[in-house]
Amino acid sequence: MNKANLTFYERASDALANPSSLQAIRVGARKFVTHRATAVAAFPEMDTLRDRARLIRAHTLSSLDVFLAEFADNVEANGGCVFWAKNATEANDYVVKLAGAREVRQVVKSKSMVTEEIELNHALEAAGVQVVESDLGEFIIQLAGEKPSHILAPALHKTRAQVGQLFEKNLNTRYTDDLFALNEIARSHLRDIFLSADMGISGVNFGVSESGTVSLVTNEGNGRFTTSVPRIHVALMGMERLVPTLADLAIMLPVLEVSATGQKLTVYNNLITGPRRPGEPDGPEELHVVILDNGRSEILATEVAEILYCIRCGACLNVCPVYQSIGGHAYGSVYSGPVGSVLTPALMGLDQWHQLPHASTLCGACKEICPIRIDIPRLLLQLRNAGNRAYHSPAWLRTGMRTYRTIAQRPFLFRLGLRIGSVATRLLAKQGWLKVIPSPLSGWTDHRAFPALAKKSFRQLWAERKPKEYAS
Amino acid sequence: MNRRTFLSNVRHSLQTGYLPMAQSQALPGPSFSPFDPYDLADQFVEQALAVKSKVHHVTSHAAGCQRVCDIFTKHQATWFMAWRDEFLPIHGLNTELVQRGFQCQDSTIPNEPADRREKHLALSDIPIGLTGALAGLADTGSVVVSCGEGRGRLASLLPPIHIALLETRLLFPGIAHFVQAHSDVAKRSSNLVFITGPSRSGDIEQTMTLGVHGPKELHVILITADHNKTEV
Repeated sequence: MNKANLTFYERASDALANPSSLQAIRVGARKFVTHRATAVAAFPEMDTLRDRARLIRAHTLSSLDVFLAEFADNVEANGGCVFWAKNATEANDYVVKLAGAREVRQVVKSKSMVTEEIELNHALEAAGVQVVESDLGEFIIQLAGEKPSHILAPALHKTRAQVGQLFEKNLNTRYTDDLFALNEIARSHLRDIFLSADMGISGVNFGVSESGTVSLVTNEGNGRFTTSVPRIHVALMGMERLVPTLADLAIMLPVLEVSATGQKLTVYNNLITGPRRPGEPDGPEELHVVILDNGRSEILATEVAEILYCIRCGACLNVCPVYQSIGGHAYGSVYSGPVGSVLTPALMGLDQWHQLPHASTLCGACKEICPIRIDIPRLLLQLRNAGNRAYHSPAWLRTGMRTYRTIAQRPFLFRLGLRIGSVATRLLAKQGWLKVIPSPLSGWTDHRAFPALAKKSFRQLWAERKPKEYAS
Repeated sequence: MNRRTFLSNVRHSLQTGYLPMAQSQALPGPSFSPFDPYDLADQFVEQALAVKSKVHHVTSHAAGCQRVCDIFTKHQATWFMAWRDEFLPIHGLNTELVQRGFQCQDSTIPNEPADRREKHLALSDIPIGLTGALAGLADTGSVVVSCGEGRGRLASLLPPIHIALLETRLLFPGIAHFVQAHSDVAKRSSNLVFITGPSRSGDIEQTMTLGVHGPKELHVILITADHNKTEV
């Protein structure tokens, strides 16, 4: 089923109908939050580093054209190739053609959200190339034929029992729900693929302009395998993922990793500067860096450009009450949670994705936890506003708001409205609460009750009280 | 799309976009107070143990060599892959291991695709990989491994046990100090890796398990010796 054709509300209802996934997501998100909190508590410099990280991102983005040019020059000077891709089609075509020209039959991938964004796997498979995901979480959802439900932990919605069943069905192994045994199965299955694949495809956590370095962060080691063993390494990078210098990278890496998994450094921080050099015993013969725009330059021109500061740590997902309640799939895009509610409509257009900016209570937990202090609530409001101006909100809401404005601007009508409301709600209420409100407001009472308005309004009470106060 | 159009799109967007706190000036670099690497050894050991590395703190090259042999014996390893002798802080270690009867496997990967695959498969059962380290980071217990000529990537990746030899004099308080002291390190190495413990994953139920794709054990031989590079 193509979930993109459903509305956000339909996808959310689907998600709510699957309590075991939701339970797994809730538990997983809570663990992420705890791990991060523990790490931050033991890392007093974190707040200072976050401020600095925000300045680095702002500085990078404000001269992005200069840093992109410097980065590309250095990648080429190191012996790598750079391809500038306007959109998903151009990026996919480049990789598919490269695979064809080099007679690549098998590709091994390390986790990359940008390749999910452009659906590179489909393009390669359509060209007859076998693609195997090597990150354990990605491997699991590839076997299940699903999409990632979390930008960091793609299989967050799966329980160990479900993983055991998947492995049993697809890899001809005995069922087990022992984590160590499951890891062993994945390790030995993927080891053969690492050693025989012709091409490794990775994302990029940060590109370093001053040296043309591609940096990759992994815990499992699959990122190192993907970029060290196959003879061709292709790295796909969203165009905003740069830092100017290695010193900046040394700030960004701990900020990213503490926020993401609660580790001060993840196990492998892998810095790749060009392909294998003469005299080296191993490493890829070719390095290709595909720099992807795919809507990013359009975002950069708008009032929501700040979302491009994002370093994809996933912390905002874990703390979001909406994400915790419906999980990642309900967002319908590879980018879920608060960042996805901004990024998806901004990248792919409000026409299809105008509901996502409303998938938030604006509680501000995302802004508070964001390592780059991105003002996600502001961005959500900007997009809601843009959506309204483009007539994406339902007609009753717009008429309703217009009516309210007319009434609220006229004190007489406002007082009258309150009186009607007070009488009507008290008539309909049972013991002071309305259990059902008629459509279009019935959504409110589906899951909670609405209190009847008081007999005397605040304005009346105020008016009665005021003279006495003055008297004393 | 060509580079010029791509970059001119970016430039064009920058004229109208709102980037809070944007500034054209680069930030001044942080300044660090001086430190003595030998004071960092205890912190390094503590942090390395916390990320599940095994640390062997030795005070002589001979003791370091003995610890390496002990690991071989414990795991009944008969062969290994390693960086070239000149890149290991214990000079002559490979030769010594070979003399003691362990076989050092050449791990140079050929260019030809079919040969490449065959060589990878031939190396896949090697139980132990031996490398040096460019530095250690005390606040995270990380070893910094710089690959290049005579220093293969696979030795710290392919075998289930990775032994990294690190000299105490190469310890830094953290990654930022290291980068400041080695500002051209990325340019000089096609592959620089900060390794913090053995391979792990939390992808199933966010519960950590060790040894997913990379080494299951990381042994750091931390060598506090008075003099550099003595013969075993």
